Amino acid sequence: MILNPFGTADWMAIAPIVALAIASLLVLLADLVARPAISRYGAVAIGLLGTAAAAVLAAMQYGHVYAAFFGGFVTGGFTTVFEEIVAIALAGSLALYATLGDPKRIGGTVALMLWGSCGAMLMAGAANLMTIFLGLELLSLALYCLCGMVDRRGARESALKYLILSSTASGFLLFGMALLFGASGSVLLADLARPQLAANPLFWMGSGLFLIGLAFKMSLVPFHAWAPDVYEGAPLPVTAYMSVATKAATLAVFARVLYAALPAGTASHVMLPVWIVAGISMIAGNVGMLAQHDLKRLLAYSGIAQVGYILTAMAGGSALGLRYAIYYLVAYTFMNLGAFAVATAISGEHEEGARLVSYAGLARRRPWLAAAMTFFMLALAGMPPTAGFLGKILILATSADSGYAWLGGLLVAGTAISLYAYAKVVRAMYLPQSGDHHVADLRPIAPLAWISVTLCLIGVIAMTFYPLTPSNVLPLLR
Amino acid sequence: MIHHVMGNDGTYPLLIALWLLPLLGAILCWGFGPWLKARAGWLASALVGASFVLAVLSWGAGTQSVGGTLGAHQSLLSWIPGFDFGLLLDPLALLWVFVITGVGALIHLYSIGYMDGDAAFARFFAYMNFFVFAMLTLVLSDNFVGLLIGWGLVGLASYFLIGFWFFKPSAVAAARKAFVLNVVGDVGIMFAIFLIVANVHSIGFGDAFAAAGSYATPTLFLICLGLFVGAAAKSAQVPLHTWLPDAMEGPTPVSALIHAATMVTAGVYLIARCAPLWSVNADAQMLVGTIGGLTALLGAILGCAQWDIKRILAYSTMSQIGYMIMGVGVGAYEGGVAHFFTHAFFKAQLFLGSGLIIHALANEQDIRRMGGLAKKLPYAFVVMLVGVLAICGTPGFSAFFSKDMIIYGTLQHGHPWLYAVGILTAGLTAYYMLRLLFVTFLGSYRGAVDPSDLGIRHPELAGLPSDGDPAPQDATAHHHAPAWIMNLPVGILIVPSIFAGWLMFGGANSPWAHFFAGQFPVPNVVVPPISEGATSAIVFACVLVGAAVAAARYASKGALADAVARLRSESVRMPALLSNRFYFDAAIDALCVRSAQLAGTFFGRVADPHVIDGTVREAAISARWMGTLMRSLQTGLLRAYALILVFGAACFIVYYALAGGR
Amino acid sequence: MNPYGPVALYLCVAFAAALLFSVLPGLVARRKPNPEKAEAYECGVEPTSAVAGRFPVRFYLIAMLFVIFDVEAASFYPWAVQMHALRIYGLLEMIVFIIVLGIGYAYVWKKGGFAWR
Repeated sequence: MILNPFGTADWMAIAPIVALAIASLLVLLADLVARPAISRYGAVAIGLLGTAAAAVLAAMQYGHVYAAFFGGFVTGGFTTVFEEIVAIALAGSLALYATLGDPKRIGGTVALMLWGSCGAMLMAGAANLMTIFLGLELLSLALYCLCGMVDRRGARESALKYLILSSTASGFLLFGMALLFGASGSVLLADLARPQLAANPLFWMGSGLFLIGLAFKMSLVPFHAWAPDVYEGAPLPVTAYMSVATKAATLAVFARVLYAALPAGTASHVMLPVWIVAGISMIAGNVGMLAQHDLKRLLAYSGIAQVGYILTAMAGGSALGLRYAIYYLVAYTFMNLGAFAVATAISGEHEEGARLVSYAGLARRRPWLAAAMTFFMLALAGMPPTAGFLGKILILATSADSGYAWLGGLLVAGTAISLYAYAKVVRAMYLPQSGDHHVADLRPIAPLAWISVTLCLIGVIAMTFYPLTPSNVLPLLR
Repeated sequence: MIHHVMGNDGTYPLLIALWLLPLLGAILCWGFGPWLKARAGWLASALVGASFVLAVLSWGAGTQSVGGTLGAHQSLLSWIPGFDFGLLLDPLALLWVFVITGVGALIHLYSIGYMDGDAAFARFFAYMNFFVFAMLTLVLSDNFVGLLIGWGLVGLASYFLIGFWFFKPSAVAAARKAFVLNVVGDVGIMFAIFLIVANVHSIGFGDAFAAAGSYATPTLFLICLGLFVGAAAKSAQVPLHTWLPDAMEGPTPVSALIHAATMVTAGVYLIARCAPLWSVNADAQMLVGTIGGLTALLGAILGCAQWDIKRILAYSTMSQIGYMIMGVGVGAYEGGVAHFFTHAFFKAQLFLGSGLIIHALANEQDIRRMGGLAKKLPYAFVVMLVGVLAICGTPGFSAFFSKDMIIYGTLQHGHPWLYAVGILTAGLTAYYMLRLLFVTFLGSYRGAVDPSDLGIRHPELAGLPSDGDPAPQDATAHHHAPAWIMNLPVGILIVPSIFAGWLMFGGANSPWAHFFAGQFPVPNVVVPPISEGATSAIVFACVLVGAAVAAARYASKGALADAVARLRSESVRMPALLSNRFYFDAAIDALCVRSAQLAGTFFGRVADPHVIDGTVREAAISARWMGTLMRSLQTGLLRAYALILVFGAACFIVYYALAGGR
Repeated sequence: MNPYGPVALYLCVAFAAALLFSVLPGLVARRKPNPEKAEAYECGVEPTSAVAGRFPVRFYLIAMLFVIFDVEAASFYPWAVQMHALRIYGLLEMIVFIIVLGIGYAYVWKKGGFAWR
């Protein structure tokens, strides 16, 4: 057999990933030769350039169809959107890392972030089981290291916990893939849609185990327990990255499985447990927020609930639902990164911005920052006039239309619970400081963090006005 | 779903520029006020003037008619389906744009003189420009939400400008009153928009009107009612009119622009814009026509009993808008709109004229303390004389044509009672306007007479404003302002005050009818027993009677000789009903404010602490309990997490084993 | 019957057997402990230190690096076997692979990953 890889592998398809990989290698090389003082911003600059290149290359693919790895990676529509989300998360986290990062480790950290994003983008376009696993492991391995990239007990604990629990989940995922392969005889997702699989117990068990793995990565209750601890321990920029990129990449895989890789008529049965855990997550995640005193933990629980919202949009399996899910995900990307950017902007060496007490009286010390944080909190809570509100309304409408009104009901209940928790942050900023507890002004101004805050603010506001007319339906899947 | 869009689609960048120029002015005046200083006035006037020029240039676009579709449409933003935002310039909008920018530019110019030396000169012009922008948003919007945004913004601008002299407690109170009453109206419109969206799934005018025949009748009546509550609040219709006289606390140019020429006619615009809805619901027409007629009559009666020059004009405004609302209410749309057009000129002129007097008399506003000003202020006298002749409907002057269109229209559309009210009000109008003119300008100057001799009681008891416009802080400054800058705009306004009415002359062949061809639904009219010419004659006869009574009471030789005593006796013997303005304020106070206070007390003492607080506390406690439960699972121990994970996985596996084994 | 039924049966039997054999001795065995029997068995010699010894973390580091490079080197073999079929494409792929590997190697070296200190 003569293999002609040039004929089947479309290099354009993986161009964004290659751009990130090259940037990552350049960062490592630069770290070897440059002096530490230069390497701090140099590494971030190379990383941002690579990210920009990847984002531009991905955007150029939009509307065309490219495939690579013998059909294991397709891009051009749906994938492009998720690649852009990953790029946004990466750029935001890199900017925050430049503000907070440890200069000794910056090269390695930036390189790992870039490699992790390669994995996330690979997942976004993965059309066969092997590519999914490859992307997932590439992302996860990078994240294990990133979590421990700071000299803090909590960080090491975070990295170890994540490594062990995530490996367990990967085990489930891999076993599920093996069963799916056993059932279908193919690693291509498209082959899982064959109708005869519906009667095959192997397919069902394989899907179940596979979905356990995905549910873990999306941190759905009861596979969520790692999230608060890992988020809390990891460095702020890494947490910001993790909270967006991992979710986006896993949601891309999940959406592709839901929409394109299930035998006709089985979706509602195969996915039922996922919808149930999504419903539980919306309640439990929001309840979990109530008792938190740490912003990263609070946002971890918030993220658990937010994934539930996004899944609610997809529950009916309608094209409109997927569009609204993506809309909400993009909005969530901006508001979540924005909240982390504010936390970074008021952080010093010890990440003071992660603790809620640091926000006491922020409105007086930094009125604009406090206003921005208020806006992000309102958006996360889904209050008008933010994109979060619009997204939730759309999700509610689509869930009612597609017969999953009970998920919509849980969404409303969860939102009501969450208001108290988000309001806690806002209240801390605007109420006069209590007694003698005084928080020092930590740093004058961290330009990159402020720019990130501004860009996220613009992003959230722009999403509010994003025209959602039918002509904007994304070309989703092939 | 096919969307109906009003206006011919295309790109009209001029329209966007026309709309946004005043906003630019507002931002510049607000942001660079300290640096601009006196130049702020010129900048603001120039930008509004530029808007006017663009409006003239858009004449062709606005009046074009392609296949029955009138005007120009410019899309701005397509949001979720059914929520498309755009600008619409058709003859109706064009008319309003002309008045807003044209009269607006003149009043801006006048304000340069009037506000000269005020500490917050630039801020004033920022507000004024902002108002023009808001008003343009209101009339150019092609959908209900855009209209409501404009509606809210003009209310905000009005609030800022009424309370412009925020150191006067009366001004602050008036601003707050206007704002609150207008919010009542906003809620009405919001309610109507909800109903419309629920029925046609769109906020566009085109969609809402194309479906006009398909609403259930009660629904349509509720929509019209909601819209009319908004219109009544903004246009000072009974019983939501009480804010308008108080709004005279603002600077006089503000009264001229906002509370006479433009903003208060927004209700007329709304009903004329929604003519397709009104014309298919007779109940709504009846309601609006009746309220309009009632307002016209009440405003005129109250106008007879006022002593403050601006308040007389305020009640006159209320009465004239009553005419307009009555016109558009019964279906005489062209007449109602025509009266808006002419009224904008002569009422602005009257207000600016009164501003000349107030300015010259160091902020005196009580006409009892004036008198004999014809010799002292001949220019103001000419201005006021033309204005009064115009508003009375003297043949040849503008209101003669527009008012007759309305009065005759009520008969054409089968409302003889409103016809009678219209004629009676015309007579009353002549009476109180001439009373104003005679008391102010004839006889001898009474500024030096002791106020108590004129029957002026304690201002607070009489319900009169506690003080007039404050003097500029630098008393010498306003002598430097050239006189022409205030006189010129007023002089220009004289021309349309006299001649604007001629556009409406000629019935169906008039330029007016041509301009609005195809704009409004054509109703079924009856041929009334009284012809249009006869109506004009009757109205004029009634005006003459009113004028004669006024002349006998205030301009006769005896009256002029004995002016002080007569004014004193009239003041003292004013019927309580009139001096308390028909107890509307007291009624609103008793009905709304008191009951709200009672409800507030009830909620504050009983419901809040026991019912709501209790529930919230329970919810908070249970939520915290759940949070604690969550936290007890979150031990931080790896093995606990692994256990939870495996537990979840086991549940999954059981489900899939069962589901797959079917 | 489900074709995987026997497997399930086998699993159950295996579980049951394992459980049985770990529980049964505790239940039925005779217990007569003496000091010699209770001692940890270590080639008949008295234990000299705690069972769980502590190693320097460098062992793990070096071991991990060894495994990584070892596995990567192992992936040369399939290429070598198929070199003629893959031709220039395979060569280019391998060169890229080696470059990536080389940068990683240089990085580890420069950062002192191989230094025993």
